[in-house]
Amino acid sequence: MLFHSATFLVSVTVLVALYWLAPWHRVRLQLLFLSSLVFYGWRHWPSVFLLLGSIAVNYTLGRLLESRRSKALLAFGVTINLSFLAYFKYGRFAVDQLISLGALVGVELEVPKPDAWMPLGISFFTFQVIAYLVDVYRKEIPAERSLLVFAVFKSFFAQLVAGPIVRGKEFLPQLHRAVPFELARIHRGAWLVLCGLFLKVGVADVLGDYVDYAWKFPETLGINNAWLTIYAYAAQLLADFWGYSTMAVGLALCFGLTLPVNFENPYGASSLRDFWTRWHITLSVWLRDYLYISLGGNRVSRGRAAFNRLVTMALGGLWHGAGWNYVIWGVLHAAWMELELVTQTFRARWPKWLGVVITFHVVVFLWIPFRAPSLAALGTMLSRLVSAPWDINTPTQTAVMTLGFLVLQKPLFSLVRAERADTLKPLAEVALAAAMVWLLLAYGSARQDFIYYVF
Amino acid sequence: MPSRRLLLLAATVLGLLFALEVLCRVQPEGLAAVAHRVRFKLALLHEKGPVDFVALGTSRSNDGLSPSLLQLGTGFSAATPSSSLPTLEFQAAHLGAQKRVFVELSRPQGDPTAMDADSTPAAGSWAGDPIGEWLHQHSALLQVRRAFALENLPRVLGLLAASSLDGSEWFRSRQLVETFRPPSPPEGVADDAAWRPQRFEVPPEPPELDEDGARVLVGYERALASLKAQGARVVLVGPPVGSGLRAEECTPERNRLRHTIALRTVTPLLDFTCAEVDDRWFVDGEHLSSPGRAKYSKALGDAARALP
Repeated sequence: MLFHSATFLVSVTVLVALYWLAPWHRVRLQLLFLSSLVFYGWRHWPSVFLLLGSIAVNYTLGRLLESRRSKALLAFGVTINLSFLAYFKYGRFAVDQLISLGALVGVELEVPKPDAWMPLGISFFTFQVIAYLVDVYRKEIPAERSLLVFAVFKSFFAQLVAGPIVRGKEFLPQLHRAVPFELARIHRGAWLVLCGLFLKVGVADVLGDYVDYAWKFPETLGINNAWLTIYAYAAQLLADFWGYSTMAVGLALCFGLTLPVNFENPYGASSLRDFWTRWHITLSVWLRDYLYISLGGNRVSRGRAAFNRLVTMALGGLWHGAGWNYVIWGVLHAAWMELELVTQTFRARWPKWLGVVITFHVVVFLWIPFRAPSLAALGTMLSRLVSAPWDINTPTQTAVMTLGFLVLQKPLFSLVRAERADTLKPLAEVALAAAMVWLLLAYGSARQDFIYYVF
Repeated sequence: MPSRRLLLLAATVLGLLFALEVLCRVQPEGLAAVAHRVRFKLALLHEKGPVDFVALGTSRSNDGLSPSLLQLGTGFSAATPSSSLPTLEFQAAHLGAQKRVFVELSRPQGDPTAMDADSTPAAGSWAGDPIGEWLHQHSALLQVRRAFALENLPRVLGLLAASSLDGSEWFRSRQLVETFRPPSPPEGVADDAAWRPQRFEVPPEPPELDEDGARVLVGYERALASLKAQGARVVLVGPPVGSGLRAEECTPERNRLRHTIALRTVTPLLDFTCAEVDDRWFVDGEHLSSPGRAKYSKALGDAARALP
């Protein structure tokens, strides 16, 4: 079910009411679990069995790891989770590569391709549960004893399919606590849901219509539209994922739960390293804690540390999708970060705004391979950016929206916060809410999936 | 007071939606006219009252014709930046009784843009959202939501001042480009002889049309029959184009299609498609600039007066 569908919004309103009317905490958790299963199976009900199986296996593994701290058991747990991810998400890609490789050496391989169905959010909940197993192994958290609590931790619909990637130590204790009903919290949640909905439907989807069309026919773009496409995509991607994450945080608040913030004005970063502390924060932290540090982090030789960063970013890229473009994207990020390290002293003398402008444009350019549907399309787009005639028609609405959204990042990020619901003057809140509803109605685009659903 | 703040937020969101829904149910026609460019032009014509002729067509006619310059009495441009057969058929069916109607004859897009392209998504896109689909079918607000877009709001003023307008004031999307371009054509362009409709030898038995040609023919037959049934004298018009597009449009195959449509519908055709006019009359090789508009409007007016 999509967060921005009317069915979801109506259902979740009813669910919030039922949740707080339920007299016992256990019943509330049961409600959350059942509704999460409905949410997850709405489009593809067999996915629910994968989720249930994952809950059962990882709950058991957690308990076993606590009673017997075994590296082999942890490796087994990580492998089994990754194997599902590998099969569903990367299976076809791997087979395609194998066939291409065979063709390269003149061998015609006939390898059956895995089922094309990819369970929603598998990348997110796989990382979430791996973190849980590692944390239990490291004795940072105890294994969860309540199967119901663990099931809600694993399946909570607000963060199940596109994050934020919540950690056991921050989320499990919340599920044990029965928090009292508090209208202020629901008010904050409703504010975030409205803001997130606006970002998704009123900004991301509107820009997405243009961006999708442009990427479908990159060879027809004039130089002005090619440039507008890459800036519009930068705005679309942020609005889409930030909108989703904001709705997730808001929805959780309505149930008295707190999810981590996933974005912190990323296009205001003054370096790529800084960018990764602001963009998809929960993924960055995950990669740092469970991959980069496990590889040795920076407590090794300079060369090895650079290699660790390269591997982390390349795998981080691959996490986003089964395609070489994602790997290229990750590797280019790593390469630029190395360049930043080498020029650190030199860059320290620059004014901050220069760092922000350069970093923003590096990010925008690196989104090009990220978005490119194929290497051929990537090449076409790059060539249109440097040598193409000027299109007589530039879509004014897209240009104004892209520019406005990118320029107003700082005030927007200060507005889209749970605590702003408390500090905004009532009249300002009403005016902003009315403006958002108005713009959603007038400009909101046809519904599209959240971009990060497919990652 | 958190409860008051939450109540205020909910009342704002739900209250606004409810109020707009009520407004859309009370004034469905007016808001539909503001929401849709085609409905808007028709409403504008209706408000303006009787005219001597109406021009229907795509952005080529919309940008290329000034009714007052045709010197055929009072005119109205109902042409819009749309180029689909459903649009033409809708306009023809809702134009009302007119004395004379110029219908642009160009090859409509293969993938016709439906009338409500700038409204709500197609029903198929609501899969998995039954409440959304129900709202899509039952909400008056969702049908005309584009009426609330800022760029469409000036249409309200247009409807209020309809009597002083001829329809050509709207939707010229290339006006900004024209502003930054030197007036065209520059001195020295002498192509007066080219500004006249072309005649072609039409074979006595028109050739078989391909599937797309047949689709276009059927669309025009329906639209023209509808106009004629309402008493209009119809004239088909092929607007001039720049040399680049002319190479695509002025081919034996395309010429045959246009002339076959004219023959089969028994309608006079003033075809400027192959007129070798200078490219400098155009903004972008397809749409006429302001001087080009004056030139074409006069040429079309002259040709129309010469019709029996």
